[in-house]
Amino acid sequence: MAALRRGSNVELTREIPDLPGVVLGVRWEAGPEPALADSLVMAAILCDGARRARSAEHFVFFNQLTEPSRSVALSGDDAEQVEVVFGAVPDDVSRIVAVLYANEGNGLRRGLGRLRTLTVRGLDPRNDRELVRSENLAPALDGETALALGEVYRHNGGWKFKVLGEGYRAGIAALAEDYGVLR
Amino acid sequence: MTLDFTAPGRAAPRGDLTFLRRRRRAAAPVVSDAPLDLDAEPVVVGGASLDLDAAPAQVSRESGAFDGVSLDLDVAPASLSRESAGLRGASLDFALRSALPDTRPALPARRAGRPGRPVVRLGAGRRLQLGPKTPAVTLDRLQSAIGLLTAEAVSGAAALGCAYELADGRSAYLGSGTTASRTPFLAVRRRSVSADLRQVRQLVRLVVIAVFPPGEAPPGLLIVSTWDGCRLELPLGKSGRVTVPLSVHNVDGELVLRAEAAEALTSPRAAVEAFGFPRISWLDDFTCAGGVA
Repeated sequence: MAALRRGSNVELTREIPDLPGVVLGVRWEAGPEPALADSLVMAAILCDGARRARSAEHFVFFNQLTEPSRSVALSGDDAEQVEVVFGAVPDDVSRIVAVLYANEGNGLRRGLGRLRTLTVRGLDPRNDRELVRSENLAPALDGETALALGEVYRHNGGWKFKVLGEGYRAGIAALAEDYGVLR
Repeated sequence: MTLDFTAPGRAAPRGDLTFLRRRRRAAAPVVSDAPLDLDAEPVVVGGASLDLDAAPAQVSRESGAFDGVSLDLDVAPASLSRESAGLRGASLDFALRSALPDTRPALPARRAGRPGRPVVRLGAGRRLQLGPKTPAVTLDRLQSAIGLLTAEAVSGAAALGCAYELADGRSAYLGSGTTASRTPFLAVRRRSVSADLRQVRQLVRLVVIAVFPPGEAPPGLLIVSTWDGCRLELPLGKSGRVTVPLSVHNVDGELVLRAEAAEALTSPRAAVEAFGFPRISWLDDFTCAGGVA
């Protein structure tokens, strides 16, 4: 399977009409810096048509494992996967954006550019078969500490997946501001 | 509900007080004519520590053994594993892949408001002064787990320290200039205490301790800040050598910050012991023996 480049998209439910959902997973290799890997957090934001979060409760991460409709949930304890059930996503949610950020800790601030590899992929939730995979997003990163990895979104009655790879040097605060998480 | 303070063993379960732990007396049994247990949890010292607005803890599958235990919380929050602590209030069953629509996780527990004692929240970028009028504020799940939670003495002469308890039961005191772990989870500098909230699932509670120099010293102000620009202000009063201005409790993944009224304490050791950290060892009243008990 060819890796999708930034901005590329694929029609998930056109390729697999009976696909009930998708698991968005992120993989990284941190290299010799465990502090960076320890600080990484994957999250998902449920957005409306204007790409704005429905509310702070629609930010799914390790301390908020699901959202009010329960259509999106963190799966696994390693916080590397978010599971989306297409049929349960509320009508007013147009897209689910997967993000990764380095939590600002007490140590040095480290950018995602220090990662050796970083990919986002979509899996079939029924059998964990890999459906789509992004290119390695790490080489294009530098001091960014938050990143919109990819998104699944409604399209002509179905669902598409798109690789975003949009970084934020000001970290999760800037990303949250951009997606309207902060109220 | 009828309260019988002479027979705590027959008390009805209190699933809402998830952050309190009953302490066992080392030797003597509870005296029946002494209704106040002076060994009780330190949050009582502050005068308003019971978060009666907290909803009953929704016990996850992993921690289901705690159902109905309530006040016998010797085992509850302190002994929860990192994994189960993170699941409090969510009860995910993680079986989505085998039967997608029918096994969706339960909703997170919602706080049941109680008339007269609403849960105080703080929107992004807001400011609030904690004190007798508003003694406590509850951070939401994002404020409780993103970025750093920092308490900084911005005026006055106090040096800060903190005592903390982790989900695995360990506890320690950190004076100025020390760090707690490799990550590090907590960092204490002379004028500030900061917690890396990526590790918040490990935290059960912490108390911030202000130590004033001997002699006359002006009182000050403690500023607590969150990743989204919230700012809490607490007075750093001085009526003794040591005060405890702030406590932080992890309640179902939400941090409850409370202005404490514990003053006129003589030493960090007295403050730490008053707030129920009996396992911490001390070289003297001002010097912790180090390590994590």
